[in-house]
Formats: sequence, structure tokens, C-alpha cells
Amino acid sequence: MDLILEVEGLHVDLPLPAGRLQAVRNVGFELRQGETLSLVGESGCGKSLTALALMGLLPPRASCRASKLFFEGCNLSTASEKTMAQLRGDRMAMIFQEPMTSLNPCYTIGNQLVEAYRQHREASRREARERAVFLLEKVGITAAGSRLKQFPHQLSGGIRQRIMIAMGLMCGPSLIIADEPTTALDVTIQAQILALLADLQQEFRMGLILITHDLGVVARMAHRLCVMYCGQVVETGTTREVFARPLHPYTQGLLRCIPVPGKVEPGSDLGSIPGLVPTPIGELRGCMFRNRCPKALPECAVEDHRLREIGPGRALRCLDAAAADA
Amino acid sequence: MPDRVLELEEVAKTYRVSAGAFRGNRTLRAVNGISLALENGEVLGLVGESGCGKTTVAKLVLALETPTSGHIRLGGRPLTNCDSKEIARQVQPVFQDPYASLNPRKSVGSIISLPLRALKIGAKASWDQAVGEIMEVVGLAPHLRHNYPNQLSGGQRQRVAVARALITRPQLVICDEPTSALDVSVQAQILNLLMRLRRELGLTYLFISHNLAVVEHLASRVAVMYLGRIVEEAPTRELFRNPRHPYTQALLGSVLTPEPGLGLPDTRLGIAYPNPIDPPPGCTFHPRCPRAAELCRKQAPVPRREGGHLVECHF
Amino acid sequence: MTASDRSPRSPEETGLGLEVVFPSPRQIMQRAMLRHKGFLIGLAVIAAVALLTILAPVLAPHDPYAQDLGRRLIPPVWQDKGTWDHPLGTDNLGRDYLSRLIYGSRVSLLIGISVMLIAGLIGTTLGLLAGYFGGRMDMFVSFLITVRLALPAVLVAVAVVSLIGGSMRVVILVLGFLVWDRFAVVIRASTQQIRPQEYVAAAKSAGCSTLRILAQEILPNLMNNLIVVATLEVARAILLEAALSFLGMGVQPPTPSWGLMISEGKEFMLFYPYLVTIPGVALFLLLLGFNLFGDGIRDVTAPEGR
Repeated sequence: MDLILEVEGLHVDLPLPAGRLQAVRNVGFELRQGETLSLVGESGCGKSLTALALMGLLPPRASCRASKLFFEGCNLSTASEKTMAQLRGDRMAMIFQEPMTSLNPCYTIGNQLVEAYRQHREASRREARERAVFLLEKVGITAAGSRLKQFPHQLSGGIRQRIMIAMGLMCGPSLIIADEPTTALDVTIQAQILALLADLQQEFRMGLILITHDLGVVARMAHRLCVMYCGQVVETGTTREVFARPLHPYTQGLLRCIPVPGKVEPGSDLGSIPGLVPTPIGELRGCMFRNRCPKALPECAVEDHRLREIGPGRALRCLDAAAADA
Repeated sequence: MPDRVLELEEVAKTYRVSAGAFRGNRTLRAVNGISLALENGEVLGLVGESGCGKTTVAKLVLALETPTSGHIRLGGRPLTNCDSKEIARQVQPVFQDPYASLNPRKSVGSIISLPLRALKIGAKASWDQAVGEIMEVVGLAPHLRHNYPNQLSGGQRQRVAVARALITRPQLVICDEPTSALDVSVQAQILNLLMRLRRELGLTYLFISHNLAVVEHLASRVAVMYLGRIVEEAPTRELFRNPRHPYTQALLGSVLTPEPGLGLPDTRLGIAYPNPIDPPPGCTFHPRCPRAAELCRKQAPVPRREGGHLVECHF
Repeated sequence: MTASDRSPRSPEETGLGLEVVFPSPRQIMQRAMLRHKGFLIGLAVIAAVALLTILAPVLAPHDPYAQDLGRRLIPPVWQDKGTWDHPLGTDNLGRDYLSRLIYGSRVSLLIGISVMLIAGLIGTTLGLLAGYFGGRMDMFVSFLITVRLALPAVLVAVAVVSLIGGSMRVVILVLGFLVWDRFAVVIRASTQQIRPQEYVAAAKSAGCSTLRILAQEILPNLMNNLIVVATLEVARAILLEAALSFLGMGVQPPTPSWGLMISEGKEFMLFYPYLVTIPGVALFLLLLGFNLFGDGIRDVTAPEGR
């Protein structure tokens, strides 16, 4: 499987009234064709900004730099806006969280799908429309032909998200970034949409970056995952490895927090992580998790932890000696 | 203290909505004949997805809307007989969105003391102290009372909402998805807080959520709603061990547990989406039900009660 | 973005950004104000004019009503034959132009602010009622707004004044009851946005009366929009007054109003253009100041993305 995405040393800063927010610090990962990588973390961990940085869609105030940002051999950090505009929608597509606001309410579905295609391909309207119908059927929408004439507000959230997926696929990209694609949807629809994404990914041999806070989604969908906390990657590995033996105290805490129906003891406390998430503004030293970590040591405040390889594809940012030896 | 804190009897609420510029008004049956009873000290979990009407139930109980038909009784007294201040003393809400449920222009102290000021409870001098006490109870640092909502995290804001709800020591607290907008690690903090306060202050909760696992943790009884009706109701353990209604089974089956290797569940629900403006005839669930038969299309099922377990299904 | 915990920081806990204090909404606004050039310029202009208005008796070198027919039409000091005795010259009745200009600012500001207050009260009340209650109330208010918009303000004012006669009081009342439409429209839209917010429902559940909700929950969140509209409406009122006075339908002579000064000066415009340009420039600068200020407030209070 080829490497389609290489990220190393990605930094994103945001100027805020309270100071310069170091929203993404030194983030790196790789993605191969046909692979699903998940960026997992809670709000504020920088996962969405990382995705926007890849797509070149950061807000204008944000500043971004990376030591390596290669997509299919193209250096994204030096790419011009024109190059990025060509790549977006064609080679890399993004699916956002809110299907309600991702589609333009003024245009029909067909119009938006066709536009997505003809932006990047020399094709007639008829050809583009045929491809749109083909993809709508692929994503499981019945009566695709008549759907083309409908407007977004006439359709439910689940169907809109399917349309977003179809739109992402119009030009046959090699990378799809899905930012919390099912968070805004009902739980009974969620599984369907995710299954659809997984099937399409396999069929079209695409790389999928799945951004989510839901560890259940990660477990069922992703091959590999990067756990992010406060702008940094704190643990990476294959899904099986990380869930079987989570090494970073944050990952362990997260897994403890998730109530699983059927395995709950009513009346007992739910696992939680005490304390507040720190704000990465100003002089930052040491491990960002130490104020909430049950295993914190004095060294954790002083040293700048590096993400260390502890196995093939397995990395950890923690001084915990026992974990490092594992 | 009356034993039955809340009672709903065949409550229905319909709205008139315009179905487009030229199609005139249609009726939206948000709640279509619901009966519930909450005893003192209980936690009733109300579960359902979008469009099922659970938020409307919350609004009806809080008297923010009036039912189109049916009766609601609070502590034995019909809700229509109580004025807004009496209702405010007895039932308070905790809403879902921690960013929208606090007035951005008011300080935390002012937000929390609002019920005291509106209901004129106690002397003005005592309000500061009451605010300080309740802030301690919910785990907020006392100096935060001078801060504004935009300076607080989601978890802190939700604590403020809880403090505001509890400052008048109501009997009944309506929790409408109180943790759905929070991070997982913080969710648990708030849920644990709610559980502890229920024990310590003897509260009764109507806990509305779409998250089954959370409901299983908190609730003593669970009612499942679909398109305005309660399709199943049972004590928590019974419901989770033995779900009878196909929708409940699908809901439980859809939950993605963090267990790698299990793949994605196939609930066989089909792609039809429930539309409350245009509900299907007969049993409203039949277009998506894997067990649907001719009967389901023609006739709406009648609720059956077996022991403590209520189901509304032909099978 | 968490509020700081003020307990003393142990060495282990520094470097985490936990002591970062996120500023309050007021602080954010104040900082933005100090950086916004348009806002500052507009504020400076308004402050300068306000100062002129208040200190008029001290600053004006002569009595603005004192006529001296022997010293008519003296040009301003930068033209030849001008003197420093009358820096901006004199008008056709020998009255000192600088003094009339300064006293004229009183008229403009007084009328502008009074009209804004009256129109603001009417428009905000209507907008609040329409936005909060919706339904029939909204239909009624919207009807009122539509009727009002269909009336040309200047013509109505002119008609009323020709019936009753013009004076400062009449102008204020007529304009006040005419220009409330923008207030109503903006406040109605803003109220409709705020109404469905959960904190309003929470206030209602807490037992707040409708009046309390309108005054304490909704109005404070409207203030930003309200101030912007109010500033722009002052500018509009000043301009309307000048137009009316120019037409002879506003403030009556000998009261010094900038519009009236332009009107009186237009007969002599060909040979003594300063009679028209000086009050014209003053009007322009004052209106520019208010518009910059209003725009500045709108920019500064525009909600930041979360």
C-alpha cells in the first residue's frame, strides 16, 4: 500500500484576545492507501484544526507551519492557493459535521454535485449528472434521479450526510477527511453512515482520516489511531493494540469514562477525569496532562516529553517507565 | 410531600407548521398521547432520537408550552391551576447546550441567583450566601461568581446551570440532554454530580437523553419514545436485558461500544426517515421495522402492560 | 478557555496555561475599541462637537444673534479683507459666523439626540413586542412598519410643520414620531434571534415575569445592535433637521441651525461661497463622525466565533 499522506512537525497557532493559542503542536502521522486513521480527542485538542491545515482551510488569522506536509508527493506547505484549490475536491475531500449547514440551501442537490465535478473535470453536464446519479445510488439513496432536483431543506440529516459523502466522491479522491461525520446524526443512522463510509473506502481504495471524540466509532472503524490532547499527539498505534493495552494515562482515562450499555452497574460512579483541560497559551513546559494524571511525577513538569517510538507504528508521549518498557 | 411528583395523562401537543410556501399549514403531532408517572425520588429516563418529541415533553412539563389535550399534574395539582411562580418553585430545568443556556451578558453569580430574585425567595441579603453555598455544592470555585459564561469551560457552565436549577430546592428537575454537548471526560463529572445531588437532596429527575448507556446508569425506569408515542417502558435493568420493541432493540444494537474487531452493527432499519409532519399510517415504526407485517401498516398497536413492562407492538 | 483558579500555583502546575485568564466580554470590547481607527476618529469628532456645544458661551467670540449691519459679509480670515475679529467671517446681517456655527452645533446635537431618544423608545418597544410575542402582535407591528416606510419622511414633516408652524420642539416631535422604523426592524430581528435561546427558557422556568425577561434577559443582549442603530439614527436625524431647516420648515430664524445658515446663505453663494461651504463642511464632518463611530461600534461588538 502506498503512502499518500505524510505529516511531520505540524504547528498551528491562533491569536486570541488572551494570547497566542498553540492549538496544534508538533503533530505528525502517516496515511496509506485504503487505510483508516482516526484522530481522537475531545474538544480543543486540535484535531479539527489539523484537518483544516491539511486542506488549507484554516481561518485567515491562523498561522501554520510544518516540517513535512506531503500529499501524494505534493508539498502542501509550499503549495499556492491555486494548487490547493485544484487539489481540494479533486484529490482530497472533506466531510463536515453539520449536514444542515454544509449544503448551500439556494441550489439543488444536483446543481451542487454537478458543480463539484465540473470544477475539476472537463465534462458535459450530462456526464456529470450521470456520475452524480451513480454515486447517489452508491451511497444508498433511492430514486436518485428525482433527488437531483430537490433542495437541501427538503431532506433529512441522514440523507444530507449521504449526499455530502457522494459529493466528496465525485472526483474520485484518494483522501477523505471526515470531521465528526455522524455526531450530529441519530444513533440509529450513525451505524448506517459509518458502514457506508467503510464500504466506499474499501471499494475506491481511498485513505480515510476519521476525526472523532467517540471511541466507539474509532474502535469499529479505524485501523490506526492518534490520541490527541491539548494540541499534541500523546499515543498512536493500531486500534487493537491501543484498546487492548492503552498506555497513556489520558487514553486509559478516556476508556474508563465511556459507559457501555449492559456493562453498567447502576448507582456506581462513572469513570471521569478530574480537573480542567489546560489552555495552551504562553510558555508551555512539560506534559500537558499532568494536572489531571493519576501517575504524575515531578519530572513531568519539567521535561519536554517527546513522542517516542516504542514499537512498530506504536508511539507514546509519556515518562511512565513501565509503559515505555512495554 | 406528595408521592407522585409528576403525572402525564394522554398528553398530546400538536403544532401548526407551514409545509412550504404554497402548501399551506400542516399539523405536526410532536407528542401524540403520552402517559407517564414519576414517583418521589425516582429517575425516569426518557430516550429517543430527533423528532420523537422528548424535548416537547420537557417544555410541557416546564409549562413553557400548553398541551393540546390531556392532563399534566405536578404534585397532584393540575398544571393549569398553578401559576408560573408556583411551577418555578417545584420544577426546574437543566438544558443541553451549555453555551446557550446561560445569558452571555450576566455574571455567573447573577445567573445562579436569578430564580431567587424572580421568586423573591428570602431576603436580598441572604442571596449572596445562597449562591456561595450552591456553588460549593456543585463544585464551582467561589471566585467564579464574578466571571462571565464565555470565560468558563463547557463543564463549568453546565455546573452553573445545575446550580441555578437547584438553588430553590425544587422537587423535580428536568434534565434535557444535560451532557450531550460535553466532552466525554467531563460528561462523567456532571453525571456523577447529578447522581450525588439526587441522593443528598432527595431530588426527582426526568432525564431525557439519546444516550442509552448514560440513561442505564442513572435511571430507575426508562421510557422509549418514537414519533410522539411511548413505545416501551420498563424498569432499567429489565429494559436493557429484555427489550421487546423492535425500535428499542435497534437502539441498543446501534450503540458502538469501544470494542475493536466487532465491525459495524447492521440493525436492518432501512433508509426511511421518520417525519413527524407526515407520519406513516398504522404503527408509525413500520416502514423501518424488520418485523413489519400487513397488520402493522393498517392498525396502530395498543399498549400492553405485562408486570412493570409496557410495550406498544403487535408482536 | 477556562477561568483561572486563583490558588497559588505549585511549580508543577506552571507552564500549563492554567493561569491564563480569559477576558470578560467587556474587556474584549474595550480592547477592540482602542484598536479600531474609525471608532476612535468618530469618537474624537463627536467629543469635539460635544465640547463645542457645552462650552459654547465660553468659546464663541460674539453673540450669535447680534447683528451689525455695518459689518456685513466680511469674508473668513484666510481670504483678503478677513480679520481675526471674525475668523469665519460674518453673514448678511453682520452676525459672527464662528459664533453661529458653534451655537448651531447645539441645535444639531440637541435635535439629533432628542429625536434618537424618542424614535428609539418607540421603535425598540415595538420591535421587542413583535419579536417576543410573534403571531398577531408581530403582524400588527410589521403592518405599522410597512405603513411608516411607505410614507416619505421629509414630506410628512414638511406637511406637519406647514400646518403647525416650525420650531425646535415641533421638529423634534415630528421627526421622533417618524424615524423609528430602523429601530423597530433591527430590534425585532434581534429579538427573534434571542428568543429561542435556552437561557430565555430557563429564565421563564425560573419564574421571571415577561417584563423581567424582556428587560433583563433580552435587552442587554440587544444593546450592541441598539447602540449601533442609535448612533446612525442621530446622524440621520441631524441631516433631516438640516434639510427641513433649509426648506424653511424646521427651526425658525434667528436660531442658528446649520441647515438654516445654508439656506440663508444660498442667495449670496455666488460671491460669498463661504456662507454655504462652512456650515456644509461642518455638517459633513459631524455626520461622518457619527457614522464612523456607529460603524466602529458594530465592528467592535460583532460576535467572535467561538
